[in-house]
Amino acid sequence: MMENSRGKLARFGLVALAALTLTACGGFGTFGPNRGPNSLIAAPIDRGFVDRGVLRDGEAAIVYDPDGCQGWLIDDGIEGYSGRRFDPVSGLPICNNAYPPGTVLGNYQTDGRSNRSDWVKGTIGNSGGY
Amino acid sequence: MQKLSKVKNSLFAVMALILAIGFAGQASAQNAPQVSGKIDWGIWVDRDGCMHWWADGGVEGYMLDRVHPHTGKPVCIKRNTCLVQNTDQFFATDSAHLSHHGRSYLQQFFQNAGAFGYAVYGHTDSRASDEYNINLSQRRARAVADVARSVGAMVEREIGFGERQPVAPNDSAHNMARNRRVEIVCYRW
Repeated sequence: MMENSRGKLARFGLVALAALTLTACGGFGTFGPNRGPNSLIAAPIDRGFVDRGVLRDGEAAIVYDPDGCQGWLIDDGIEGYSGRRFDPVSGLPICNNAYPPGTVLGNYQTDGRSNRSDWVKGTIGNSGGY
Repeated sequence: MQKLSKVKNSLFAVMALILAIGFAGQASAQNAPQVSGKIDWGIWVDRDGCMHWWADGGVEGYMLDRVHPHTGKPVCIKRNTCLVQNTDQFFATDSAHLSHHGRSYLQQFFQNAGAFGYAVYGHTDSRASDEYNINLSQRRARAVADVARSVGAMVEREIGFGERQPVAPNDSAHNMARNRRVEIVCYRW
């Protein structure tokens, strides 16, 4: 009986250690591997070491898609986000082909949180407005 | 005692039946997709005041534009409408001809607004037919957009919505005046 419970304790210890290791291996974030229906995949707060914080309203660059329409572009340090830009009154997209597709205008990196080099940068030629 | 165990047994039988039905129900729902996790969405508001759902996945980021479930339109806190003007100051009743005052007001507005593009939307009250009002508001939107173009402003769209997008019920002179309007949205970098 004694041994059995000790064995259980040891097994629990191992599981706990494994869980800890996994979390640590997550490195930048806190979301571990998928653990089923109740596992949290993402949340509106960045708990990472490098990109801690939340997105700030209004802070985004404008990007042109291949149809000449505008979108919002944000890089918080690790993650990238993009959303459609709409006319707030009519709900229509803003499309004017004013710049070539892919052009990024303004600062897409959240202040002070992303000064690491972007690996993809430069591979599509001089397409950036930054 | 025996009776009690009989009752017990039949209770077990009923429970087993319920369980069986339950499992059968689950089995028949086999085509339903598997829930693989959940996302706790937050709100990010862009510079035009429109909302987007976002969530951070640790290394991934996710974003969805928030839309009205019934209209499909974006959900926006209207903070970027540059100008909403009652059209009585610009046009005579049933006319799309700009008054002198209206023209110089708009010239000044478009010279100083400083946006890269403009949307011009015309609206009327509910008097006269829907078709007539669509036409009138379109002609008025064009007249306003023409002033913008005349001073070098870029008009991205000009639309007449007629009486279809009221800001107030058309039940009083005051409310109808509120609905007779021109809206200008400034598209800024």
